[in-house]
Amino acid sequence: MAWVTGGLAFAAPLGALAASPKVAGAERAEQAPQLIVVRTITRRVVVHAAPGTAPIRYVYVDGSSSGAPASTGSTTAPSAATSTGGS
Amino acid sequence: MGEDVRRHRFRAMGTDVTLLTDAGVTDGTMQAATGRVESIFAREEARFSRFRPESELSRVNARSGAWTPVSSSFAALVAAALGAAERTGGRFDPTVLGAVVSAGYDRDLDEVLAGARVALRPARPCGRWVEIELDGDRLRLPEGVGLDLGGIAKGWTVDLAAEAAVEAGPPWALVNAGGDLRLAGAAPHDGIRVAVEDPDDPAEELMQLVLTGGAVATSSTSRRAWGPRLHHLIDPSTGAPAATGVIQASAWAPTCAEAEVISTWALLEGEGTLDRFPVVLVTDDGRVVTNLDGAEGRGV
Repeated sequence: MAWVTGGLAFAAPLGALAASPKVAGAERAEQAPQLIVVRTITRRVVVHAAPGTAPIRYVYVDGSSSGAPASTGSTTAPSAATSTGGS
Repeated sequence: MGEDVRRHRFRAMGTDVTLLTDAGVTDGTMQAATGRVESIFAREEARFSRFRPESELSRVNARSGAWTPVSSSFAALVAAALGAAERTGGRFDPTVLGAVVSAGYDRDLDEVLAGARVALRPARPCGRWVEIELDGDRLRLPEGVGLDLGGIAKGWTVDLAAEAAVEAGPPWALVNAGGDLRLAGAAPHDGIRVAVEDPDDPAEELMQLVLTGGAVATSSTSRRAWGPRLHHLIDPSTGAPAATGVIQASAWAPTCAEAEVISTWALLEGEGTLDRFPVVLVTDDGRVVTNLDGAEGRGV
């Protein structure tokens, strides 16, 4: 019983302190989060290939027919092996 | 690639068919591959031609309204066509036969070109593919409706032929039927160069594509055309030849059958397909628009 009485006597001032009105400035200070950096994470951007990515690319041929210079380089464009143009 | 390839040409399905394969392939392997490709085209043309009265397609069309037994291959292609119709919201429609005929394409194209160049009947909307019933190895078309599998049967055949060619032994094979092509096997390291023809002049190249796998098909309003605004690409919503501002659409897909569907869809839907599929579009105002990756990054 003596232990209980002693405990309550110890906690009473803390309870009164908690219940007491606070000034506005003190309230703001309590709400401001205190940031503690425990570790740093380096963000990594992962780029997924677009769903439509296909094993095909284009080479623009400036002008006409095979052997014309490609606009994307200074070399001569190789002849196409075959063609597509509607059916 | 240039001429670092072996090639064999023949005629089938009303168009030129070419088999390309590696230059190092032996004569025996080339002959075996050629034999397989030619026999597959002969077999599938006999099955799916609408200009042959004895074809399975003609037999099915003649029995519209009644249940008709069909081969497993026929059922498989019809199932693929109906799936494509559903995916495209009816843009790809295997029941445009009546509209194609009404537009004047009622005979083999050579005969059409030699004859009258006028529409035969007013256009009517299509869309009756939703009424087709397919139950295993039997099929029932709606009364008065005919199938036209021309928009997918060639690609289907190209796929079968390219895969069969590789099974004959070459490291890779490309089968091109009138611009609808499929590359099968292990592609050469630097890919296969495919020229995209100018719709106004097929001898001119708009660009080259470097293909390392899959298939490319092109739909064009300037091919199989028999007069002003008269061509074989029917807009199912109107039943008349399409006029969307896109005059040629080339599409990539894993298979040629799918590439054919997408190229038709792209031509009928226009530039909206750029958000969905790898395509090269040629518009009637002279633009060439693509979403493919270019040699120096993404190009549009």
